[in-house]
Amino acid sequence: MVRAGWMKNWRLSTTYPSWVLNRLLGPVVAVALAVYSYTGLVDSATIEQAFQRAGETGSFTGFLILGQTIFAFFTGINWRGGMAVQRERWAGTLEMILLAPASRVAWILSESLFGLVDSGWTVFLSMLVAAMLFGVSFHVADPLAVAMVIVLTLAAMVALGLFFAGFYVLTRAAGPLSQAVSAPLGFLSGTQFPVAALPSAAQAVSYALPVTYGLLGVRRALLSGATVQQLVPDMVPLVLMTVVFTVLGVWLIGRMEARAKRTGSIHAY
Amino acid sequence: MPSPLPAAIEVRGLTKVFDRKRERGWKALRRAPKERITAVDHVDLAVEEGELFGLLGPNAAGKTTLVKVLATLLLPTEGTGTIAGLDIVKDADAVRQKVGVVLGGDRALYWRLTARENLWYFSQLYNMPDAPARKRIDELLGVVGLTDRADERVENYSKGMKQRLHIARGLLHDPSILLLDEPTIGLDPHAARSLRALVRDLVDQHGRTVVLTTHYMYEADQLSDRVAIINKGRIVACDTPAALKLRHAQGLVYLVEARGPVEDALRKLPGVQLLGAVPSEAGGMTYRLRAPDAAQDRIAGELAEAVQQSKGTLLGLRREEATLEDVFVELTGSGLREERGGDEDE
Ligand SMILES: Nc1ncnc2c1ncn2[C@@H]1O[C@H](COP(=O)(O)OP(=O)(O)OP(=O)(O)O)[C@@H](O)[C@H]1O
Ligand SMILES: [Mg+2]
Repeated sequence: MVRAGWMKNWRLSTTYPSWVLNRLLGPVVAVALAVYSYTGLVDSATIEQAFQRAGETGSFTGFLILGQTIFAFFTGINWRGGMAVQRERWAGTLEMILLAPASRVAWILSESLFGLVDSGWTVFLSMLVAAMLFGVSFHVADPLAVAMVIVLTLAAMVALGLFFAGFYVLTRAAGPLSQAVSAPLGFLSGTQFPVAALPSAAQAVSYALPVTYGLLGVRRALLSGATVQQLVPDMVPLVLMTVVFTVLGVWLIGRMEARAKRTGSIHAY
Repeated sequence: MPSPLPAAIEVRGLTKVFDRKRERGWKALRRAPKERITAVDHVDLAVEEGELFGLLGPNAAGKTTLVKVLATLLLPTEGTGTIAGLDIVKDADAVRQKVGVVLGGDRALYWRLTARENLWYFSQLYNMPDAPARKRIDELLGVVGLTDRADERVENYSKGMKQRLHIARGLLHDPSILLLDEPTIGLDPHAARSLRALVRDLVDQHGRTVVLTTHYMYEADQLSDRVAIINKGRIVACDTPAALKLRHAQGLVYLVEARGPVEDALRKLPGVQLLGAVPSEAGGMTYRLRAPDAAQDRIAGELAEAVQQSKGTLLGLRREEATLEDVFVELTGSGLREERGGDEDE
């Protein structure tokens, strides 16, 4: 199923040559934008000081680059997994998919995984380019910690994608919602500044989002050389949220299908 | 007499009611005046194994809805149904594995994939192992006559080719029961005929059970072993085409081709019922009339006389077999469609 989803999506999204521009250039430009919106205005010493005051360590440019890249994973999953149902409905193929006995959850997961891999390689590229351009120094003490925190972050985001898949369709506004969700989520998760800089009410929301913990953990592991033990406070919420969103997601997807079959709305919204 | 074979499909009191909301958006939030549509109304059906069963009805009769309920795409509001002994609600997953469904539709395939890629993707949704799936796809492409174009993107396909691809998709997992919703709609007579031959073959040579919906009475008549006539969600009759015609379309059907103001005169003939009128090639009109059996000896003369007396010109007069459309008119008091089944006269 994963292979099938990969083949389909790859062929669907690569039929026109212009996609290359989008994928390759997009992330690099986004990172450059984030970096220059700070370094273009304030001298780097001031930034580093402010950065330290907010309780962060390590390179600020690295902080920004990681923020952008992790968030790109989220966008990939949100778009692929979260929008899977809606996209097939737009294409007119949703009924054909629901006719088949394949597990709906497995199907959405396969779409999410494509989103991961699909955004993954561009993210890797942009990290590489950006790190070279801006001379970021990474500080890794424990490769296992890096691997663990990345895997847990991705798992939490895939679970979130499952949840969104059901949620978007049930609310009957998949298109607008998925777009509406993306920007505030990026903002509240602290992709471009430390979450500590937000008002406390906003922070409360931030700490209910898996992307926030993912960002914290990945940054600590890659920039400040955190060990597995030091990352436990970030990893525990990630695991919990993975479980919660998976359960919620599976439940919502079941609800969605049952409702669509009752009201006859599989083909249209 | 109880049938020796188990019914492939059995449906009891099956009903599907839709809520149709008139308003969308903000107005719908405030107050949604709901209108209920009974698309399928207490339908009882039994389709035997190895049978080609036709479901004939006009637009909005509920054909697609009934097929979708059987296909587990819609939940019935009331009533029960089994397919190969499996409940369509409780055993939906198992039913999906047993039935092949073809809903057609221009868009229901991935246009930017080739036929082969489309089939392979869906084979994976049917949990088929890779190698057997590929073998099966080759086989099916041959069956539906798409082998030559299999590696071309579907966006370049004609309607007929897409329809064939839909059928191949429906057959992927080798289902014993096939549900086909208007498989020949939009096809030219030639393509429609070869598709019908293919469907007949699936039943005769491969022992499949097929339920096929159509609003072409010719198709239902020629193709089906048995036909159920559906109108406004209700099955109004169900039997072999011959038996239906015998029972519900007694009398003789005449075609009168004439020029001039003859319609009133034809209508006024005692016992004669005007079934329809279409412009004829010769510039007049062809009237379709039914007369009672008892009038057999004299009716031709009376029709010709009526045309002459109303100062019309008689261009032709012919007796015809009753059709399923006559049955439909008899049972429902209305025609199947304005023009009679696009490809009937092939
Ligand atoms: N999802 C739905 N929501 C609301 N009403 C519906 C829905 N699907 C069908 N209907 C209504 O149910 C009735 C039967 O529709 P259906 O599509 O089953 O007819 P049909 O016999 O297939 O007609 P056609 O020959 O035009 O395809 C129609 O009045 C239609 O408007
Ligand atoms: Mg229909």
